[in-house]
Amino acid sequence: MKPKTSLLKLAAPLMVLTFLGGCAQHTAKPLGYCQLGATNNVERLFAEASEKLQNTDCQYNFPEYREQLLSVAKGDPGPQNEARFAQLLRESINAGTISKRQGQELFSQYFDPEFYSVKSEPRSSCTSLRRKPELYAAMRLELEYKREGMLEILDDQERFRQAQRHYSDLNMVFDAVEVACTQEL
Amino acid sequence: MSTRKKCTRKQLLSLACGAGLALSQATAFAALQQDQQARPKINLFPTSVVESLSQTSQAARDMESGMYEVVSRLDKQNQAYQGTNCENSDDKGCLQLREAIRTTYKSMLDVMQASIPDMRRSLEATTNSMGGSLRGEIGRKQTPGDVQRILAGRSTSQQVIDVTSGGSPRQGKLSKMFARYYELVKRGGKQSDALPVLASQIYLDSMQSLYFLDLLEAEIGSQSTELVLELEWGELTDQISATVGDVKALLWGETDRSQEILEVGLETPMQQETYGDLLVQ
Repeated sequence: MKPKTSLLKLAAPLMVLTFLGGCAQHTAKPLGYCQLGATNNVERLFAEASEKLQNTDCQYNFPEYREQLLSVAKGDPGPQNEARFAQLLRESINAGTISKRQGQELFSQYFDPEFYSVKSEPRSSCTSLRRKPELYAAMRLELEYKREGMLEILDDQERFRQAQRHYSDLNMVFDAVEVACTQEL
Repeated sequence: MSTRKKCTRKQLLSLACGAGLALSQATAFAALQQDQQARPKINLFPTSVVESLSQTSQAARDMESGMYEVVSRLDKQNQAYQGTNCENSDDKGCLQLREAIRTTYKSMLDVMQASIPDMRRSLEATTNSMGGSLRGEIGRKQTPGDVQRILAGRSTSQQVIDVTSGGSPRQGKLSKMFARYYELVKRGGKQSDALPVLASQIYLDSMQSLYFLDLLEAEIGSQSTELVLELEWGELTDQISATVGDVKALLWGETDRSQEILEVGLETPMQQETYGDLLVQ
């Protein structure tokens, strides 16, 4: 009985030390480590975000990173920003920070002339258009994102015009189809 | 007489044979196309729609040509009335001119009233067939995403129709609009990607035209009664001038809304194959 008790006496402090050591390792990163630097250099900021997102502790900061990157990219608009966002999203998908669907949604909302909110409607048009006001509100919001992404971040006016044309074409077709579907009732 | 009948029969027979041949070739071609393209085909413009469009265009043309003469007469009388400072004058000539204007105005209302039933019939036919097509081909068969895909896959060639060709210079707006729709539908096979937009525009325009036709009919009814009840030598109302102005704008107005349809949704979006993995197909 005795040897067992002494062993336990020895093991207990060791376990506590190991546990504390583990905690100390985990909290080794300084406070605010996950925050991105206050720079306006887009290239550097994307690299920093990419690096930090590899760290599991920082993955929860993805929404803040996204906002900061969008904001800084507006200060240096150009086509190269699309590739930067695409790369960051791919890395985030691979790291499991966001799902593939979330990545597609984000990228489409900002940079695709077509509407994600329309693509994600799984039911027939007659059924979907029973909730036309909600669909139109989502499209309207997405057009705002596209304006931000295409005009302010990519400086691509032609692409935004395309999105606008899509928007008005879809509105016209949906209006007509909705009336046609309700006429039957 | 019998020779003529025989000729007509022969002509009809050859036409039928030609149509049959064309139809069989078209069917074969369609089958081939179906193999080539996995995208679901939609048939928004069956024969019934094309026919009713053609009839609507004709009915509008008839209404416009019937009104052209009476409206221009009214216009001349109005100009004379204003040019001779007849307003608030009891001069005999002015009174006669006022009466003449009233009579012409009444004829204009009569012509419009007489044309409305035909116009309504053909518009209703267009609305019903187009509505059925949209409901069946898009509403039930396609998701909103499918519609977007069709619109996004449109061809690059911009469809341009010479505004000055087709139709006499006297041709009015309404008939021109439907005539152009008819033309676009006939040529539609080459631009199937823009067809949902065109079909929707035709449908909504037809419904709106029907609505205005109802308003017009009600207005004509009340104005005809007013004209009968009004004192024969009374002052011309502003309503008459306003109505004439509206009718002229509707029939021969300078701002031609029908041209706008050419601008709607006929451009091609750029393919972003580089980011295919981040785009929902």
